[in-house]
Amino acid sequence: MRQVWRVGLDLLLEAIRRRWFLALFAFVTLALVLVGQALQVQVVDGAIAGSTLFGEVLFDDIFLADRVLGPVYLATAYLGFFVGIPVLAVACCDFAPELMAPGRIEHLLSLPVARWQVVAGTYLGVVTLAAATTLYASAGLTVLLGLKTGLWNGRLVLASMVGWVGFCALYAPMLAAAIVVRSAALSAATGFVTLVFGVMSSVREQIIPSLEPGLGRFVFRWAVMPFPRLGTLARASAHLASGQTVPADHLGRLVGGALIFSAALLALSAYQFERKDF
Amino acid sequence: MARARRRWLWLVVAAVLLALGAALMLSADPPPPAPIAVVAVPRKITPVEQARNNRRRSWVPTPSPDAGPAPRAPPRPRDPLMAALPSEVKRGAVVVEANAIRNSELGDLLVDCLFAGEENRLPELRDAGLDPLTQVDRLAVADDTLIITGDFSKTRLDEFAGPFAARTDYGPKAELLEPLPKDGRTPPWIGVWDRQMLVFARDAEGLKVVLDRLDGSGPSRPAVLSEDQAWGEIYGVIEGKMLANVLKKDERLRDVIRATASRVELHADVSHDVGLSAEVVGEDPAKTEQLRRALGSALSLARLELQAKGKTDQAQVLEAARVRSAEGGARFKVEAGLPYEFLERVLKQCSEDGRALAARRRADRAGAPDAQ
Repeated sequence: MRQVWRVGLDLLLEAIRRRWFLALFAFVTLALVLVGQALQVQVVDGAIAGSTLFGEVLFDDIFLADRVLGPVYLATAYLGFFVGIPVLAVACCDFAPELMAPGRIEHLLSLPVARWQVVAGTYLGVVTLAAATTLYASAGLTVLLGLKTGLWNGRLVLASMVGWVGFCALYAPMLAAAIVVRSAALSAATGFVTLVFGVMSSVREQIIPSLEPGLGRFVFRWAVMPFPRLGTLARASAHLASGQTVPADHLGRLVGGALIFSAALLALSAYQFERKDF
Repeated sequence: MARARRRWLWLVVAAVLLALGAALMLSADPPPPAPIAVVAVPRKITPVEQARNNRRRSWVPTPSPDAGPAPRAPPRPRDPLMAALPSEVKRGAVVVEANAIRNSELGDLLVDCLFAGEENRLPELRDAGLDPLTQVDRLAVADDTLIITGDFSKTRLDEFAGPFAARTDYGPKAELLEPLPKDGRTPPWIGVWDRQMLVFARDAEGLKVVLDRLDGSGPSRPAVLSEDQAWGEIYGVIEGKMLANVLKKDERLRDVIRATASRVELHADVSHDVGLSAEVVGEDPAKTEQLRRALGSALSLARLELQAKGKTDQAQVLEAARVRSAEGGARFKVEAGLPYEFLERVLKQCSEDGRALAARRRADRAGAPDAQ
């Protein structure tokens, strides 16, 4: 396991060397500063009296802060899931192809590291990077809104971690694709396809009636079945953020299923990586 | 060798994990909606229906030819109801096998729904010598004429629909009953034929035309419905323009139907579920194909709308509906089915609503004298 962490750490150091971290964190910070500057909220004893965003009046009545922040958190969680994750996927899509660049891969394989450890380490490095970015963004927004409204809660951070599980499930097929064909573009495309199939698997029972009964319906049902329920996961994340109840058992199964799917794709990547001649 | 074995192990692990993950996520999914029951859609006459049609034939006189030297066709037994139907209709002609429906699995629920709000109606009819649950065989509506077949030998028509202004014999087997105006309106004229058929028409002329056909004295033209088309528990033909008038909501579809469909032949099986088959006949193949597509889209949109509104059971009913092309595009079939469970729910709700209405009426009647 130590070797896996070493490979992962190596990837993180590589990211720092490439100022990748700097760029991503600067981008997140800029977004937070922009929202922080634009959002003007008057706090009156736990209630919010009026708020403007980018000069536009959002509401001018007096509401309980929690009631106002629920929808804000909900929208943020959805935005984070369906915009943040694809952006992060594109940002991370060249790590695996870079790892297998001629010269570097030979050097890596000459070290006392098993091939599967290289795969697992790369995955671990990227998802750690994603966790750090997600935490920074969600914690930053929580602090920002806390300072503005006087209301503090960690729901957005918790929801962002559910979103991060979604990214983990997205990056595993991306890594597998990058091992098959050393292409960052194909890896990113695989991420998008996984996201689409993940959403379709969440709403497959609603989609199925629009397909003619027979082979097409049968193939669709079984093709989307193994994909993580990313649509349901996004909804669970948004509900968590907005303070709605999400049954722990349901959430556990969704998160567990997504992580097992990631592990399965990692095993597939390991199989492919073992077969490759470098 | 060991490396190759380890390689295959990864593949096995991947497959096992994929299956495990899918099973875990499947357990987190909401329970799937109950599968739609397969509803039998009537497609052709069954041997039982053929035997039923044969039993109904009796020696109804054959009408004489309109004109010309053609020899009179040899008399043959005919179904009196079919003989009573006109050769052309403006809106449509539909026959309901009331007795068959009454004795189907839906019969009790239907009767309960029909009479729950009119608790005195059934005893009143029985007092007049007409038990609609046992004595009525078929109902037929052809434009403005209503025909009821059954056993009316003990029915006291004065109590049932009277009193009448006049009762006169008409032909060898029929009687004409002229209604008395009631509340400024003239109720329909009633004709009784052979104590087995009641005919309700808007005026005396309309009634006599029907009775003439039964006595063989009317013009010799084939009826709008033949015995070959008498299958299912509800069957008939509807003119395209009439169908277009029914669709008030969808103006575009209404215009397409008006311009395209000349008539629709429908058959409904009500033996357990309700299976409906409607054959739409057009004149222009291209326009008929356009109508077929428009109907298919309308069904899909309606289903999506119901699904979006959360009315999943109604959406499921529409899911079973099909628009099928047939014979060179000049005609096509629409098939739909209402599962028994769905109808049971709807009819039980109808009965409950009827009983609630009757209870309100009773309460109003009881409260009326106090108020005064």
